[in-house]
Amino acid sequence: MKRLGVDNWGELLTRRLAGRLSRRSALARLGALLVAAPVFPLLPVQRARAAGENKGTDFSREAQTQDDTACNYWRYCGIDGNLCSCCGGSVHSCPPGSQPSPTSWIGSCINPADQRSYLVSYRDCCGASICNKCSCIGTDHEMPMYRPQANNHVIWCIGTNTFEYHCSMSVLVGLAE
Amino acid sequence: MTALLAAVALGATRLAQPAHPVRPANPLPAAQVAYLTSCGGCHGIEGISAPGSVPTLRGLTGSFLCTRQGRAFLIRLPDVALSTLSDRMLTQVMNFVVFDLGAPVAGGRPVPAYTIAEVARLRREPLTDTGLTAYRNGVVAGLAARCEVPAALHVYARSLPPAR
Amino acid sequence: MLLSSGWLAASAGNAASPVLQSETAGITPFQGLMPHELAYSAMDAITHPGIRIVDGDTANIIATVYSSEYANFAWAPDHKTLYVSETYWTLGNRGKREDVLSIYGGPTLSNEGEITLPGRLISDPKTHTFALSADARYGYDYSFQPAPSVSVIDLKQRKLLTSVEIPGCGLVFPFGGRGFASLCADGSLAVADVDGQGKYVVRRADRFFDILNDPVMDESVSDTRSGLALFITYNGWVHPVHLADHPTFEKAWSIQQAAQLSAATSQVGAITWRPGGQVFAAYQPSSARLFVLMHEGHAWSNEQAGTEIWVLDAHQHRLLHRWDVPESASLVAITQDAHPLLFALSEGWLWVMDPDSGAVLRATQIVPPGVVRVRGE
Repeated sequence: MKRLGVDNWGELLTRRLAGRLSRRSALARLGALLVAAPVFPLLPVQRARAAGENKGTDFSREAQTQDDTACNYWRYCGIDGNLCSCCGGSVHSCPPGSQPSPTSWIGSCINPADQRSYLVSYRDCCGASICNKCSCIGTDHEMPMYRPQANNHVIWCIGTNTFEYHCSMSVLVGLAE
Repeated sequence: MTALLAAVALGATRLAQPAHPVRPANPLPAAQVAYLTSCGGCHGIEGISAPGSVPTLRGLTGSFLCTRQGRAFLIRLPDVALSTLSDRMLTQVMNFVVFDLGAPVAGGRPVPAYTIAEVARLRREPLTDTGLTAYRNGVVAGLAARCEVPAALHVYARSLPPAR
Repeated sequence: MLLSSGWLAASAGNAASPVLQSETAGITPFQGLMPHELAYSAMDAITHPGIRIVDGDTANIIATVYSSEYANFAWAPDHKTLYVSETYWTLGNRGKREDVLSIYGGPTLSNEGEITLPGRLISDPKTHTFALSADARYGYDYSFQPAPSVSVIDLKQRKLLTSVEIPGCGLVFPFGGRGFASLCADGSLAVADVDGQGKYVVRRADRFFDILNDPVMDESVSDTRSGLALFITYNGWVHPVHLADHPTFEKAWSIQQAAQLSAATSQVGAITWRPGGQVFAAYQPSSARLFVLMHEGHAWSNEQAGTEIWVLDAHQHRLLHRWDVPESASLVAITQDAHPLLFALSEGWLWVMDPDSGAVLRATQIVPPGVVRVRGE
């Protein structure tokens, strides 16, 4: 589910890096960015893979693997809403006060570290008032409402006793080989 | 610049581990991947969904192979028949749904798996122009009359009001 | 002129009031949704829900109607009766669930009761989840339990007529007096014909778009009166479809090609002008002009806000104008009268523009919008 906080995630990434952050976390994020784009020479296996696979999606090419409170964290390629990692939960646990929905949609995201495709379940946490932190929207291969198995605008609280949206997780299901 | 790089290197060392590393992640066979992305969101990763919301697959779909009508029904369901999956992949997925998720199968009688030709033929007649709930209830009543089916299946044979 | 509150007038009767009041509190009468007004619902959970009406000529607020979160709404052709499809729980986030179609009308747009619905889709605001037949005899509400169906409501008798099962499909595009179409997950169209007793037939037309690589956008536009739908894909292909019991499909045309650019593709790294936003398109049948919010972006960026509005001739398939949008906009609307206003909306602003010159006439701050409707749609 969920919505606009900004008009595109690129702008959001810039916003998240600028201001509002302590010096320490700013440096940490800077370090994270540098690590994601390797500064050190690639090992032979990695070099071969990097050369051979001009792969990825527009999202995965800009994604990172370090910070799960940022919208370009690799698992969030199709997330829509507030990140549970910013709300007292994590990518796979709901914050206290909310409950995970048994229904969701399942998409796949490419991990830039190994260029492989992983299935993730975008399960919402329901029942608590909206968290309103870390609003992200990833639309990589997101389908319209009439193909709900890949849509993130349905409020995926079906099966709970509530439709109050709190935040969204990105639960790893497995490696799609 | 050196100081910055040093500071960054320190930061890099502390953050050398990615958040939630994926290794080892279970590799999923292609049929399971197709099931998960096409059906698993609502029907559950293991075919278990919240009661009253979505028909449960786990432990129940195998019963449908007890009658010809039930066997055909699973393929003629619109979301199955009109899926964008190829005949080959759809056959693999439905055999997974019935034999892996849905056991016990056919009340214990030996029945063959779906073949590609069979699935290709059945999916050309999707149940798109009939009241699906009522039709399913009839199918399940037929299954219960012919085979031993799990008690949980009977909930689909009752005339259900529109779900909430 | 104010309409006096009923009980004040009643209690006064014909006797002179013991207290000579300079004024009494009344209610400003509602004139009906006027040609230059815009009605919009709220984007959920981050702002107070409800339906607000803004006057495009003055940027003033005209009226506000209460609603739940996740509501949708539609106007009857009299422009005075408002139907709101909404859901409440007795204890807020839990309790007994109530899905209703609330009715507002009369001289002061007041509540006139509600019709119980058998369930509803709960989702971010989407235009085509609730609509009326052209003569407003029937309301069509897309329900998702998650088995999809459409509740057909007899608005004259104020009760549910039937629930039409539409497995594998979604959304409602009414046409004629008693039919509607739905888009389907395999790239096809379903067409339902419902009779006065609630018996129905659903037919599936052939697939006409590639769902996995270039799907038709939810917020495509449709004119109920004529039955013409313009189904627009993520990559900017417009599929004109004449909705009928047996629909006819015209050849698709590309928005980018209409602007003398190459058609867009879904290839990774392919950055080009693409349609996008929330309510990304608006259509004026009388002039056959299609207004589309466009942005430069890669594939799968269909929700990115637009920096330009492209004005296209939907008959001749050519670009007429490209107007800059102040900042960026995610919603667009065009009034249906002879001297139309063009509305562009972002999360916090409504800009009123001249569709012929692109000039921004006025602007006003708004709450984050969901669904937008103008008179005569």
